Amino acid sequence: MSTVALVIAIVFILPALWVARKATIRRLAWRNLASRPAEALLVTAGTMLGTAIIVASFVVGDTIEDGVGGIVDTSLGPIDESLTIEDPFELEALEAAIASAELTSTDGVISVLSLSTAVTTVGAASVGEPRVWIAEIDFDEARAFGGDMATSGFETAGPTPRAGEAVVISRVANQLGIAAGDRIQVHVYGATSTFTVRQIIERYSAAGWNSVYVAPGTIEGFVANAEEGGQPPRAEVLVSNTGDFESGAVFSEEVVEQLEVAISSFDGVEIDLVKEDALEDAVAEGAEFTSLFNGIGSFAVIAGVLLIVNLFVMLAEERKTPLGVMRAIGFSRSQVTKVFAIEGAIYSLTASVAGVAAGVGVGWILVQVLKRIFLEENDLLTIGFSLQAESLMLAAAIGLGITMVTIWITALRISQFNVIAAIRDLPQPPTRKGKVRTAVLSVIGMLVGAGVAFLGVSSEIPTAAVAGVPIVAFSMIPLLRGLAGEKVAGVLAGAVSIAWGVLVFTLLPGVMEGSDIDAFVVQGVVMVAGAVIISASATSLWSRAVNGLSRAGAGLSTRLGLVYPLARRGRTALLLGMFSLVIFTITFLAVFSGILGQQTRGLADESRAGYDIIATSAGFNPVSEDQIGSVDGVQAVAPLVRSWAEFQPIGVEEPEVWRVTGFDDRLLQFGIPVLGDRLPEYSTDRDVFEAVLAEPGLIVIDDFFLDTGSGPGFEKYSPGDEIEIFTDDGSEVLMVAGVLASDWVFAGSYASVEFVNTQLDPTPGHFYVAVEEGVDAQLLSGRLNAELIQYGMEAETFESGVAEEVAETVAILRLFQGFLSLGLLIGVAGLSVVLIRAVRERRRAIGVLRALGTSAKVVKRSFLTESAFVAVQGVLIGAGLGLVSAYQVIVNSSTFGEANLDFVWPWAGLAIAVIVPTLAALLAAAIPAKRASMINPAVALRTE
Amino acid sequence: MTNPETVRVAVGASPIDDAAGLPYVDAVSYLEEQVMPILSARSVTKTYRSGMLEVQALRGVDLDVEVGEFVIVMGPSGNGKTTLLNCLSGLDEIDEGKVEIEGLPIHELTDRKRTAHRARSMGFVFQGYNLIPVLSAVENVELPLLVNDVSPRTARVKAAEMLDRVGLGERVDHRPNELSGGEQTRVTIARALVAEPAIVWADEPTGNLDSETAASVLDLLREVNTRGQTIVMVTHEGDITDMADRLVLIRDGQVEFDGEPARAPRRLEAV
Repeated sequence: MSTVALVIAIVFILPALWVARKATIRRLAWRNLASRPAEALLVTAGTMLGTAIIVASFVVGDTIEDGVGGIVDTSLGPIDESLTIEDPFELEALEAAIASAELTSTDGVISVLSLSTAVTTVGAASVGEPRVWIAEIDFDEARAFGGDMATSGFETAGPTPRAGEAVVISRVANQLGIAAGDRIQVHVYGATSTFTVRQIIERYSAAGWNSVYVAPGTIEGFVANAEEGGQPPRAEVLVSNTGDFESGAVFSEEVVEQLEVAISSFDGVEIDLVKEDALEDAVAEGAEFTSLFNGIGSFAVIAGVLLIVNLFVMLAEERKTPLGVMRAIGFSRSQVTKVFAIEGAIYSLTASVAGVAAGVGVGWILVQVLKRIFLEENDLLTIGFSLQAESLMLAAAIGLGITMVTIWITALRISQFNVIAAIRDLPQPPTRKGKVRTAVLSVIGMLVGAGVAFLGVSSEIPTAAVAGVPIVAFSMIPLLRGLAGEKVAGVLAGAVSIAWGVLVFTLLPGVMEGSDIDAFVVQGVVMVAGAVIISASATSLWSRAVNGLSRAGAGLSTRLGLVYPLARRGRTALLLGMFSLVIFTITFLAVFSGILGQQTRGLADESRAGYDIIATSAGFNPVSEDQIGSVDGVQAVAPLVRSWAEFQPIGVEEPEVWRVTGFDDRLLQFGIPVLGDRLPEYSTDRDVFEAVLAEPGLIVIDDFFLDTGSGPGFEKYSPGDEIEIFTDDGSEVLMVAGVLASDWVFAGSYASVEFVNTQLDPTPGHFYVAVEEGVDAQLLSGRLNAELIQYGMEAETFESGVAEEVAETVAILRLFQGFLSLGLLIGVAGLSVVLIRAVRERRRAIGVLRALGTSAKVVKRSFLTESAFVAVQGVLIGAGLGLVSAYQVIVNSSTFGEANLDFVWPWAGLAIAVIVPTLAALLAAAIPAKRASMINPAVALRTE
Repeated sequence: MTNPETVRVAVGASPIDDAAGLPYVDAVSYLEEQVMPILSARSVTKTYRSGMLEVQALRGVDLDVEVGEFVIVMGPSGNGKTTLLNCLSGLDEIDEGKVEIEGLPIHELTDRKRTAHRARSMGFVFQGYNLIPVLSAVENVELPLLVNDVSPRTARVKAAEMLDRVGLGERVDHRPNELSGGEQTRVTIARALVAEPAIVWADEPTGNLDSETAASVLDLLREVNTRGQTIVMVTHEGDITDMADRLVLIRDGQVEFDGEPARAPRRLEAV
């Protein structure tokens, strides 16, 4: 990555250094910059924000990667491979075989016997944890495991626990509120044993692999007294590779090869590359978040780019006359370009460095919010704050690249100015050469657009499918302008882009299914661009509006406030685009977070099949259907079995592991999990579920089946698709009979209980529970947890289960909205910067107005009106298109699953998306407006 | 040169009751009794400071201008002509002295009142056109009327009539960069005159023009003056001084000559 950063930096910095070798060019560029330090600062600040957003995205990605990787520090330490053997009585023999194999690249082998149990405290106010792993391990061996006692996690743990003693990991101790000397009860296999806590140790390194350590022989005793039905203990041999916590993973392949030889005489041994898997997960999760934040952040980055372009266009306008004079006295086009480009390069470099600092700050804030979202639920994450030099370099290089490209293009453009027109500040006269060039570029653009559209549709590339048609439409504008006039050309192209953006998901469902975040970014950009072009083209409409406002007594300030943005349509369009894009995204996200937040009950109803509570007991001590049924208030129980299985859809190369829920006809007695889609031969959802029970070759899958990532961008499966499932005896091909509308309780897929029991290795103890009429399901779920704690019972209502899941998703959506408020900051700061520069640019005109008797108040109001003009249009375009787009995605596409989401007006989110930017825009205009009103007319009239 | 009738008209158009705190009728009577000059400047000094550098642009200037006078201010470049105009009109602050226009101590008024007074009583023809580039000719000209709360419809009609008067009836919708230098000057003059101000300040109105266009511009100003409007014009062109009632020569920030153009020393006139 650092190489990429280096290459980008070299590509952009070297040419700047090359052209800066000429002293005259360098001096002129520097003088331009140094003569107006305040403005140079403004340009740099605006440019900096774009880089800051990119840096913040990378910081979040790095932090998540590090956080997921935190499992290495807290729960693995030196453990690289885990070998689990089905028969616990063979554990010692397995350990001996591995130890005697003298594996290379390893520095430790140790056996552990562990068991998942429920633990409660002893006393009047008993507190319980339904799932706690207790383990037997020799502490002396554990300290030697991995070759470094200090990092073993057991350094201060004392001797191996004796009978009746327990050493508890700090996390569990905190959850139970216990300290050394307290007593705890362990519930397993229908029996209860009491232990005295000897010591609390930190959850660190290999000590975090389990939670409570007991004396050797304890678990064997539990097993000896076990009733039938419980899951056996986990018997495993842990292997440590040489190297530190992370670097040891590189030897995994080599070690596994040796292990396979060493254990060849044992049956039922499974080797897990726990370290390698954890690190890969960390990298994948980090990359996923970086990609999501970059995708969402790209709206803000594009807003930043528009700001940069706007600033440099203004700069070019301001420098037009002096640069024209330079051309007149003999400077070549290339020299003029260089002077401007060097000035820009200085801004760009400074902004990149400052942007990294600002981005780190923003990233830190995002990480704090992420911590609150994730750490409540996931105790394996250790989200700290991670900075990687490589990421920062890459982000800075990308920011630098975007800015430099903008600067060079602007510089080349101004070097093309007609000398006299530049000196006299006249409009650039059209030339024949220019017209031909525009026509050629127009045709090329249309061809490229058509090609992109074809590629998008034929190869099912959503981004290209969204972009192609608008590229054709925008490229046609110069040609259409000649035929039908500017207004018709702009309005037509804009309307086509908006219509395409809105309808593409409906028109091309096959192509757009599985769209990733980039497709939504492109969709937003083309729609906003279309609306901005319409606004910029409808000059007569605006003129009529201005005249109408004047006639209605809106006054001189309104007129003056609108005349500049209408006269400089290109610049206004850039500003408007920047503002609209950010509001578009904020609105889009507000709709989704609003809908999810308000429809928890509806989503729960889709999953619950008429039941109220979802209850799961632990595998070590499974609760029976009768035991649940005997609890007061329970009306009926639907037992389920669950398992994990490898699925490989036909045509897909790699299998993925997904959950299978086995059910019988009791699931269907009160209702049916709602389907979003089903095979046409079944007329109702019930028919589908009954068919699955009757025919083992059918399966119902959820709407995110086999999606191991987060967010949109995965392959979706439909009724009729065939999927191979790997079973204990080989594999079978199942046909998808239906797809769940939503699956917030993660059933995964539904197959008959008979199929799961005979073909897979299920865990029992899963139930849907219906409550008697008049019984509060929430209270009953609490009662189930309390009365059946010894079975590791975890019961909750469907609604609260869904609410928890939804809350996390909504929190992430809100975080994105928060992240995008940085884009809003760019929009507002950009508006402010542009207006401050406008005050300078119009200094003489303001002086004239003041001299003619225009009051300071009118001048001030005119700037506020100008800002409001952009903000209100931006809000209308952004919020309007955001709502239309979200409505389209929810109602007419399956992009976010088949859930029967009703479109709900997100009033609160919408109010924020509308009011905050408008107020912020007025606030942003306050300083430039005040400055303008304070201009001394005599001084302004002297200004050159 | 004083014409009491003109005084009445001029004062009637000013916000004197608001500015001076006097009832309107009393104020008019007061001015009539006093037969005051429309402009009275006493011991006006103005110094520009830039870092350590100080330039004394005006050094105790005394000047009275009667209603309906046409006064030309001349002097070498950089000797304070434009500064004098800016300070007398209240566009710029002064360091010492006092300037009264229509009896109002212009520099003692708040910015709001001074601006309102400027809107109703003064017109400006600036050096170098100074038109608003994004407004058309007619939109530029109607600005003083809109500032004075004239209805937009009436303002547009009056502005078009004024442009017609200055010979630009066919160019009303053109933007400044679509007009020649002479045309821009005429738009500027139209803008200065459209609200019928009591006093018109003109800073080098013919500076960038060829002799024929310059002559037509001066004819226009003279015509305006004959209708009773006071004109104070800064110029460095010695051959046009005869058209004025008075000539004021400025050198080193001081009034070196103030009198009829014909009596001006040749040496001083040839600046």
